[in-house]
Amino acid sequence: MAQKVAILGAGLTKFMRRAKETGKELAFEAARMALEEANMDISEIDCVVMATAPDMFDGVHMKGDWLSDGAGAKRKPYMRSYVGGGSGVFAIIHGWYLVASGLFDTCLVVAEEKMSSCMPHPQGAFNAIYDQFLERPLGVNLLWIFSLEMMRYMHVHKISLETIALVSVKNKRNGLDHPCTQKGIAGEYTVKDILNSEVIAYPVYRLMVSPVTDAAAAIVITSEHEAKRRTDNPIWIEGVGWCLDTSYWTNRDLYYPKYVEYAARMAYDMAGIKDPRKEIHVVEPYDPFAYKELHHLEGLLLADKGEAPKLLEKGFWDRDTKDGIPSCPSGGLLGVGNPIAAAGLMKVIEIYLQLKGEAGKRQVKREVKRGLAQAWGDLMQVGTVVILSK
Amino acid sequence: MKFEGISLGLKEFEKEIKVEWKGKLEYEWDCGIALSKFMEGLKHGKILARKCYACGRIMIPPRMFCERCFRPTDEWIELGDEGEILTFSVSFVNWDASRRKKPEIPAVIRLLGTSENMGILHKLGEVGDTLEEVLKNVKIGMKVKAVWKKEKEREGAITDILYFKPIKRRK
Amino acid sequence: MPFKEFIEKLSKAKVQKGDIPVWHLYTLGIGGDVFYKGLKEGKIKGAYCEYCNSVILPPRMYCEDCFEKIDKFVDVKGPFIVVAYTELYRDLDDNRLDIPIKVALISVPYAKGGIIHFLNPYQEIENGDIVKPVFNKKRVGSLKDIKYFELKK
Repeated sequence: MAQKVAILGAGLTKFMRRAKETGKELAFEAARMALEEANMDISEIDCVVMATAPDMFDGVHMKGDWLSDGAGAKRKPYMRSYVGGGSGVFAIIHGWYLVASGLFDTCLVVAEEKMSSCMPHPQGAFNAIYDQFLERPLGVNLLWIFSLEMMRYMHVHKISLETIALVSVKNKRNGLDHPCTQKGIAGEYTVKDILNSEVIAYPVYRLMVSPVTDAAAAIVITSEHEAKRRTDNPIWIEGVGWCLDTSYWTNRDLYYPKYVEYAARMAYDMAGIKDPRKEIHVVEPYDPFAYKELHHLEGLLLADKGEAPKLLEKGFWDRDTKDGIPSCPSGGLLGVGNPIAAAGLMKVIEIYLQLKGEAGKRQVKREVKRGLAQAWGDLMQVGTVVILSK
Repeated sequence: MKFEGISLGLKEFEKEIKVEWKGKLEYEWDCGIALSKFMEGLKHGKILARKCYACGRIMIPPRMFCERCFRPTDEWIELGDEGEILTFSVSFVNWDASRRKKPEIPAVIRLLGTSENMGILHKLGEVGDTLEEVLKNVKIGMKVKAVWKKEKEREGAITDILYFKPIKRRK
Repeated sequence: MPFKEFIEKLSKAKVQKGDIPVWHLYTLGIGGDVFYKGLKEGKIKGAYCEYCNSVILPPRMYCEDCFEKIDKFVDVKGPFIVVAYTELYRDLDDNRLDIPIKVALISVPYAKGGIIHFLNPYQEIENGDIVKPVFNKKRVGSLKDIKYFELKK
């Protein structure tokens, strides 16, 4: 039987287009803050997990190893978690199984991304995710894969651009209240503003895409007895799930992320959740692109296929909803920024703060006892899910 | 809570002392069994798929094992060069995020004769040079046909197909 | 169950060429900035961690042992000692070098860490020898502001 695992503290750096700090230094700042919040010293940490996305961003081979001392891992059991964009949420899953297994009592989970070093533009680093035989020779770019998926999703469910733009409006507004938000990302926008931004790869408009970001995030997790010794109100990790689909991404119907559903089902089963729409009270689905939030809400079974956009129009996912499920109260990647791996962990931290009632201006109106964070990544391929509860 | 981080604006970034690294990352990737044959086929204007007898799927890109049944695939199937559009996009940016005037139109195309959703990534052509034209001329589900390079210019690569173009209906 | 088909003639095996055309431009970070600006002034800077009372080379923003932030930086004046060195006889393209390049890990006895740099190729220098940095007259804030280390007479 697995040990129960709790989150005791969290840390974040500011989200920045270009940070003066190196990746290691960013990792340090977030890790240090998480330790302080948990009221713990590095000597009390048994093991360290680090999430960081493609080595190509930093141009450092094995960058997880390079970053380790900034994550507080010197002479400790250390492991990198890496499933592309899904890494931030996978890192807590990774930390969870190290503690749940009984192998360790405490684990520091750090996620870092410094994208700005990659020239001429970090987007170039993503080209290497495509198949080198049949796709890269066509002159691919990262946006294609999203714009193709978004088009398919809109086509199958007959969703309008205006509805998708509402996701940007919601998240960019929510992001205004996040203390770490990247300069120029959050704001009060209208659907018209979103659709007046330039088309970068139709149906994707500039304001439907999350930015390039440098930042780090960290959390401290512990076993049940450590948690109870240290705090009266720990936040528990109730369920985790992850799933990888085939990398032949053009051989799947892109309108629905089956792999996210499988990951969610695994986590719901573990948490004993029968009806997620009633039992999940706040959610942070991965939103690197506006449509992705809706796509993922359906994959998470929080809406029927094709229904997430309709619920969006009704305000079901708004932060101040009374009878809906607030989605991306943090502002998400669209409203706070997208430092790949750190973005996923930022989402976990948001759920943690919401459950503690410490989300400040972002605190959702409805009562919350249980929340879910999800990330997505690799080649349209991986879903990672974690469920937290009071 | 205090959040750390020193954000550099573009001007400040330019003033910083910096270190540059220009790695030279060049590769020669072995195409392996299935794709070597596939690419040889392209050189001769043929598109080859691979069939798994266990699930019955006819698969492209061809592969020597079926990832669903996790067993070797069984047979080569020659396809025509016509297909249908599963999804498409109209892209105005290059890989380095620079802007392009004339869009590229990537698409996932299911070649006729393959199984459901069995698409490949390629591009569309002869469908217009502006967003409006492309959206008018291209619809999901539309039938398209490969436009090939001249035979002597082909080199056994996916780019031996220049693009796919709509099949005009006879009136 | 093996594959049902193999490539029997090597001439039938194809190769796809490609590259990854990105490059990298790094800011030095908090610790690195102190180091490079020091070099520009002809100094070797170290970080001082007040928790473990030690000097760290090259300087950094945090002590990885105490995991505490560092905001105190000091001039490291020596004595610089060759901890270990190696001699390179060929360049990256495998051409024979007329004068071998000597690369060394150099540190001071009271510091954690050390720096990697060149040794004067015309001097006989051994592990444990005391050396000093030779700075270029024109300095820009680069590791190469130090020409090399040479024996301290």
